[in-house]
Amino acid sequence: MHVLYAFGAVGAAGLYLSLPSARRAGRPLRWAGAILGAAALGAAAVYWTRWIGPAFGGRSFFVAFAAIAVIAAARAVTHPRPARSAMYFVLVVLAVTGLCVLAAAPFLGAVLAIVCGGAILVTYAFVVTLAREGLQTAYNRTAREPVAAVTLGFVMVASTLQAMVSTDQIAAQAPEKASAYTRPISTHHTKSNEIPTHGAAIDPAAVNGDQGNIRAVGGTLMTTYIMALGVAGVLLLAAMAGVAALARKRIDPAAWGDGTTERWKDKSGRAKERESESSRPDMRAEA
Amino acid sequence: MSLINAYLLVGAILFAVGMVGFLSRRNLIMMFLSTEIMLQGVILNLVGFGLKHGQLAGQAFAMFLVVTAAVEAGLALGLVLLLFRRQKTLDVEAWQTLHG
Repeated sequence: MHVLYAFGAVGAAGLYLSLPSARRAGRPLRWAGAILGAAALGAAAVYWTRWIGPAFGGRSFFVAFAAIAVIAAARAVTHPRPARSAMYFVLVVLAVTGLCVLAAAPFLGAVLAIVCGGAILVTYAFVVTLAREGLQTAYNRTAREPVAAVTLGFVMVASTLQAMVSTDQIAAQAPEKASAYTRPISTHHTKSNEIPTHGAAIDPAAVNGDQGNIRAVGGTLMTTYIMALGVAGVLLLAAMAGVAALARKRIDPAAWGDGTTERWKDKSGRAKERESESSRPDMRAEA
Repeated sequence: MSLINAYLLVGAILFAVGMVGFLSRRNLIMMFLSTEIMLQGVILNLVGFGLKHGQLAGQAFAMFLVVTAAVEAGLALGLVLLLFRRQKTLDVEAWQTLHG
């Protein structure tokens, strides 16, 4: 029985206590949850640094960024106010950016900070402000099936851990069998296949070659994945058209009249449209 | 356990925390925010595997994942606004009886 499972169970219990719950009348045991989660994280960090030994000096940034990411994610998921959750989500993105920079991927980190931490966050902020809801809404203060959700999350992390531990054991017992797990699939963009992961710090030149990360990733995108790049552009265009179609104001076709050009000029038609929308029974009932 | 495994583990934890949020929160905006957290975990996984194999495919694929995340956020929030305009609530349980 691996001791990391125990840490995971303690962390899952902390996450459950932090979730808003109907049984406790919307008052989560946030302090107990935070203490449990911090205990699990600290124990895991100490255990992990003992595991990898004296290389902790170069890995302190990794531990710090990982802890920030996990804590901010837990807080973003459990916070009752969506606006604050969006801010914690930015913290997650920035911590993941730091982890990407540590993993010799600074360009990806910059893209993440700009797109996820900037553009996507602004979209969320727009929606949070557009959908003006009360602060004390019941659905923000209660969780739906928290026990099942937390159990499922713990099972997922535990099974991932189990898979990693078992592949480590395969690698330790039979190197020729383990080669299927560790062999590089394709090496044509790199200088060397052997990345030192124990002890020494990551050498960015081993991943990026001698030409820098932006040039290397850009070259990969423009040669190997040029087709996928075009498909991604088409996807963005389709999403833009779809959002424009979704966000269009609903107009009752009965109020349109015949021509498509007079639709916007005809004042009586627009008056009729407003009238028909306000007289729809379902809208009035909900308002 | 090497640094690569640590990346994979942090990615798995982020994914699991996002999944817990997606399954247990009742606010539509919070559910989609949780999927974004799950995507961050997947990006960490891709970066970790790219590091393990010493190639750039992981980073390139993560770029496409960022594109997909942007598309998903735009479309999902458009849908959320549409639903909010109809029911005047963001509660996902307001939509559990769909009748056309």
